Amino acid sequence: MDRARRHPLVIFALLVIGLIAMAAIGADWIMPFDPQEMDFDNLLAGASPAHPFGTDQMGRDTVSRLILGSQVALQVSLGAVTLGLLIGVPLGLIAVTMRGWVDDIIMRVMDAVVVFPSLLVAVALAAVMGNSLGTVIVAIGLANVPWLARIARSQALAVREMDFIAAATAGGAGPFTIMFRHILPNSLAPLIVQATLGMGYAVLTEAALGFIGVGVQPPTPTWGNMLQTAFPMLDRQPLLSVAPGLAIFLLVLAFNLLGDALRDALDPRLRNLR
Amino acid sequence: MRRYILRRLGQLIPTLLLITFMVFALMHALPGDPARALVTGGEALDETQLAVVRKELNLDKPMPVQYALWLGRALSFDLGRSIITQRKVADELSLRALVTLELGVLGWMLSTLIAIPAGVLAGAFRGGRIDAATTVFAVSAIALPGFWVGIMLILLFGVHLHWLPTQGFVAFNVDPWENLRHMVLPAIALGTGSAALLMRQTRSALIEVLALDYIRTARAKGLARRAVVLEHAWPNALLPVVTVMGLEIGRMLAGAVVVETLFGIPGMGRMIVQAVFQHDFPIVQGCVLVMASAVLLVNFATDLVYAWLDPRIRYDG
Repeated sequence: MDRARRHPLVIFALLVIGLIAMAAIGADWIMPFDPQEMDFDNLLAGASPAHPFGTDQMGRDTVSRLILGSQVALQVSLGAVTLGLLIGVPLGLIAVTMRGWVDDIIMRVMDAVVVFPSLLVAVALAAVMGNSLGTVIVAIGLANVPWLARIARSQALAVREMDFIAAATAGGAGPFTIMFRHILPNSLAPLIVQATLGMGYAVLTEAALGFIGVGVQPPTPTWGNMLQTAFPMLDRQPLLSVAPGLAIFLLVLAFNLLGDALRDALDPRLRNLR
Repeated sequence: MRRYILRRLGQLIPTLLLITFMVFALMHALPGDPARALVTGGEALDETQLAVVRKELNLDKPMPVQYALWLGRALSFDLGRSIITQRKVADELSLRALVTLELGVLGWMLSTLIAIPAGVLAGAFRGGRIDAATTVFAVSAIALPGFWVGIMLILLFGVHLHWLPTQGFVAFNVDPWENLRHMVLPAIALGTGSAALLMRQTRSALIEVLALDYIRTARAKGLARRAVVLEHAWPNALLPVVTVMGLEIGRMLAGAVVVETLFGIPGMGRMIVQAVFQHDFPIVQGCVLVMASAVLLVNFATDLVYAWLDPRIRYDG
């Protein structure tokens, strides 16, 4: 896809992310109903002007619950990617700075961590630490670490060979100053791309965990646990299963489109491939 | 090739040891006394009984010794007993793993059979209608949760059309036809995301190869487009596609955890979820160990296939 055709997609992606972020931040003001308020005259209601996405089996308004659920989706995606960056990037950079056996050990450990899918890590951690928002963020964050460490390492290896690094070394800068002041800022582009794509993946993983019941627990609504409670009602009120899925789809699509666009913008070689 | 295999084996073994160590360490991350979490009725044991359990499970020994003994048992498929059923974890796992294997293979075949032809067509007729359609499909399918695709399939084929069963499992050796009928929807739900990734990878790999000089030569000597794509370009475009196909195993196993829960299929994925709720820690540990080892071994096999297909890898990689 050429850049001109991508432009509207990027605007679309930013709009979706912006709107969902605003909904999450301003949830208390914009939710039309109290998301926990039950209305026994309106159980499993279909779409109506008062409830555009209907109500659940306890008569709670789906739109309000989706808005509150967006808070968890964004907390998990931001939290997990931040955690992954905070652990993975220093590990990758330390591997390059220290070289030798330190490099070997760090990268072998990353090879081992990478074989655990994030969902599996989350399920295992839930068995050990219990179900909570923190467990979900830690699990998805840990699963992100090896990817980010590998990218940081390969970028740093490339940047280290550049002339301005030789100049900084000649100027007397120590290895860690060079790494964090000079190499890191010049290695950020692919990390930003991977982080953006990682946010979408985190939303998908969180939804899957919520659906199997190993995630943030009700009554706090998440898009995943909303799908879990909606599933037994599938034959009576399908709208209840459709709405959270669409919310997940839109947010993940937006993160992916943004990530792809950033990659194309930052890596000119890829431009004529799409 | 033999030297390459030996070198890769040399890298595989330390990684495998690290994985087993991480799974072992999980046991010691449990809150409270691991001895209580690892046997039936452990919560009610008194100190004398706990001491017996610790001795039995080697928990009274120093950590490195514990690990070595645990690893020795794991290598002989002794992974302890389920707290709920009292049966050996290895026996429970071997039954369930076959179900997950069937689901995974079906999902993988389905995604490959759709994605590769679609990706080749999209790449060969770049900018055309097929290309646009596959791109829209791929971009959307990557953003959809597989289990939600499953829910929508149940809504359409189960609730509305009543064409296919939406819950449960029939073993293949009991009734092959019913087995496949029960597996169709789960396999689609599991394979959709992989199909999308594979399609994109096939398309961009083919486009990259089609831009090379030797393809221009093939065209210049008057070969038909079909022959250029299928005989000259495709074999070289296959290389990166093989890697993606191998890496998909991790995603498939993670997907199986959710898809099996959704469709009520008694595989390893559903087993680990049930074990988490029943606090059946030996089962959780066994499942994690088997799944992680499976990912590692498939990735290893992928590397070997890649080297076999591309001599450049085995000589300088």
